[in-house]
Amino acid sequence: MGDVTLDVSGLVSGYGRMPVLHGVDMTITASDKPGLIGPNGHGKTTFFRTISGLNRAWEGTVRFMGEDITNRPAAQIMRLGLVHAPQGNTLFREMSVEENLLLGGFAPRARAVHKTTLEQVFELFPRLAERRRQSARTLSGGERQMVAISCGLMALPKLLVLDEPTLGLSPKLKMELRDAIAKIVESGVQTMIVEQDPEFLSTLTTRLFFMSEGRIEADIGDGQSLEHSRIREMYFGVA
Amino acid sequence: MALLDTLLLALKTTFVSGLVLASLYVLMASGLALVWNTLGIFNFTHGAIMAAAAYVAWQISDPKGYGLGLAAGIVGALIASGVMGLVINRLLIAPFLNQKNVVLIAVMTTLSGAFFIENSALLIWGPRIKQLEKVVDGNLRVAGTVISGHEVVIIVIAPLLMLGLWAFLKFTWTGRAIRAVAQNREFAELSGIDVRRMYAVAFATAAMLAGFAGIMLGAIRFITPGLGAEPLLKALIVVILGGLGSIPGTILGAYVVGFSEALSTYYIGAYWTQAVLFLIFIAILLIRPSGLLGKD
Ligand SMILES: Nc1ncnc2c1ncn2[C@@H]1O[C@H](COP(=O)(O)OP(=O)(O)O)[C@@H](O)[C@H]1O
Ligand SMILES: [Mg+2]
Repeated sequence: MGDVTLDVSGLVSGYGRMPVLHGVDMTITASDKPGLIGPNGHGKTTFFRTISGLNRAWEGTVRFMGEDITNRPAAQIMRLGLVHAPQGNTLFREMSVEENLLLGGFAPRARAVHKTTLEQVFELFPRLAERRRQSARTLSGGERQMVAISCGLMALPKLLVLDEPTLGLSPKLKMELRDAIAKIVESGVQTMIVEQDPEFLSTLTTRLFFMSEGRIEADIGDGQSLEHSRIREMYFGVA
Repeated sequence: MALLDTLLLALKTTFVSGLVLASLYVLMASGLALVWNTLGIFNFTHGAIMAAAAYVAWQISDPKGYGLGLAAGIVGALIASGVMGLVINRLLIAPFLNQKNVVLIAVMTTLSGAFFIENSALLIWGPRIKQLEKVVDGNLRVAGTVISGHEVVIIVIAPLLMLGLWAFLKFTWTGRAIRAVAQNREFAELSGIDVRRMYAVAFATAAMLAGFAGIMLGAIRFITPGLGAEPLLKALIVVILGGLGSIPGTILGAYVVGFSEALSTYYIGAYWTQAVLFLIFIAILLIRPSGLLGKD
């Protein structure tokens, strides 16, 4: 088992008056390699926006490394090590790749070692080293995802959340990114990967959460397979 | 030959006076652009800060005030401007940042703030007109025309300050964070940047730029509570012309307006110059609706 990294209970949140999350419970321990799947529009992004402080939690609690972080400011939560690479690679578009990465390492703890981390990131994504002076606006979709992931790494995360890192990418690029993410996971950075495609996660995760209509409907641990009939039923509509 | 000489002299004169005006506009407009660019609001206390800074500099430096000399006056007034910026941001802008119509609210709160500052200045320093010493005494003959040492200082310092501002925004952690907040507030928060703190730093920096403009103006014009009113209008024109918020655009806008004004004053006359400026303003915006260096 090991220490609890993230402990969410009864989380309710939404937009305006409409709830999207209807009481999410999730506990992750240090030894887990977690992944989250679920159909489009069922609250995966909303869940992560809420635990990282961008959206308000209406009810429930979020604990990270034993500390209650419910509804703390996003910048504070991030500084504790819960780092969120948001969906849709929203970068600092008018800045260079290097400036984006430096800003990823803005927080004091990360800033102290930003030169070393930058080298490690460039080793992982040599393409970013070539493009370091180029403005983020001019990058391809795949390169932007690389920057988004790397910004997260620059922050020295204790838990790195990647929200659909391969959204809209070609199969070839998807494979490339999967290999890079595998290296990140191997290096010991706990990474929670969000995907719509369970196939993508099969080699990256040992624990899979399935979100449906704003709830965690299934929590599949090590050894259990994706063939799990409940998932098949809910996800693909066939039993 | 005589005709050519006259023409050349006219060109030199308008060039020099255009340069002085342009440099003043750079000082007046850059802070306004920084605030628009970062916080997304127009700060109508910008002109009032210019006036207040000139008064503070006068109070500290003038023999009828504390008599501590001009250097102390300038330093004191710059610090006072920065503090004023922090207070204005805290009271008039920060409380409304999460409102949807913050742009309109800020117009109202900063306009009221400007009235408050100007009337306080009137209350404290009275209606008697004051003037600051010039930074440098004497005149200089440049290329056949006369220019005051004070104006030379303005011409030289304006681009230097812009260089400093650029280096601050480009190479320091805080400067980068200010640009980050301007470009993508949410991603900035996710990067651990304290957005409100960056807003405060940007606002204080802008207020100090306004203060410096006020101090320079206070030695050329008379210090009245309304010292910054016309400069604020000019700064607005320059910022919009340059492409809202773009600092390189603002600098370009300042030089375009400055030289246009000098040429128009010389060849068409001071009376028509405001009209000519607005014509140029409208013409440029017709061709480039988002300003000279603005993004579409
Ligand atoms: N900014 C928003 N304003 C209003 N509704 C939103 C917003 N973002 C997402 N939603 C709604 O919340 C629900 C969950 O969306 P989301 O969390 O993005 O799902 P997922 O990431 O699983 O695709 C959807 O019905 C979506 O339409
Ligand atoms: Mg999503």
